[in-house]
Amino acid sequence: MKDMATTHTRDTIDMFVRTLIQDMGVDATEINDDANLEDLGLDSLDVVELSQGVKKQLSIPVAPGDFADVVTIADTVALIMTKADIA
Amino acid sequence: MKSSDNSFGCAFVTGGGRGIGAQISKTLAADGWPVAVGYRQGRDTAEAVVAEIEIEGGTACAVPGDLQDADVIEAIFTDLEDRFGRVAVLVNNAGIREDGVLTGLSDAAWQEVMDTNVSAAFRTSRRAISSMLRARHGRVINITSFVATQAIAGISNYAASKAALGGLTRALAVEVAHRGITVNAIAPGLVATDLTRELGHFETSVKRGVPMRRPAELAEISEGVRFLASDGASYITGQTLTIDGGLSAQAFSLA
Repeated sequence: MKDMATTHTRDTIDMFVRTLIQDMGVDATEINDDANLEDLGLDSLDVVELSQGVKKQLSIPVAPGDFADVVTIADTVALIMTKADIA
Repeated sequence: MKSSDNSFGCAFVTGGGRGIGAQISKTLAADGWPVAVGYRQGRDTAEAVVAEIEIEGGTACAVPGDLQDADVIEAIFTDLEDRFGRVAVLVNNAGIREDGVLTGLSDAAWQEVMDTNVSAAFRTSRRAISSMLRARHGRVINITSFVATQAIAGISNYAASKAALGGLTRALAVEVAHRGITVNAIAPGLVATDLTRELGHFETSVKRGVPMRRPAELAEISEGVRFLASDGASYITGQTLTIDGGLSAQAFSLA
């Protein structure tokens, strides 16, 4: 069920994103900070799914449109951290 | 009999409290789906549909809300997801008419029809798809109309809205097909409901225009929805199933 934790850290968000992307079928060895989402085989629907997962399971208010300028895994984590109000 | 394991998911029928929507709600429930009967103002009729479904041993709930508001839609879906796991079938059935020749139509008559018949379906689909993606399964069924492609006078707003809904059906279908989500439309012909009874000379129109010489029964429309929602329709997407007694196949009656 929903994760109701109110404290997120860079590490927990990073771990969550990597796990979600692996669930989408991406090889764990290919997932690093500089990995380009498109090169990993993720399309816009995957981004919608990622956004929905972050919103539902981490309770961080993100929308698919927020990810428009996101290119790498590092960008993704940074964007989510911004939405979670983490410095 | 529904073949899918729906222990994890429900069907949400917009405008499910009366007319075609009420029958769709009952048919899906009889097929094993828990059904959320959406309504805007007709609480009594929606709750009557829920009661009928429950008497037959099915599961249903009445869901109020103005689908022009994305926040309302978010709240509806979140609640249904909490209760049933997810919305596995979305039937965009809610539709209104405000007839008149185009030159006499007010801005409001145009906009309200477009808002209710198309924009609401866009919003509900946007929200529904985002959780169908994860499940790699989903059904979106849009109720359009034969007038989307074959006109009669006095309904330019309604016809435009239904044609738009048809276009939305095809465009969305190709976007999400590779995720196991199908998006189709049902185009009813002449059906005896509150909407069509107000049509002047309904019976004459039916006899003249419909080869079967009778309007559709509500269940003849909902059967199409039942099929499209089922596992049996898993390879059908981006299509419009016209259920009209031969109306659209006929140029004009020789009788």
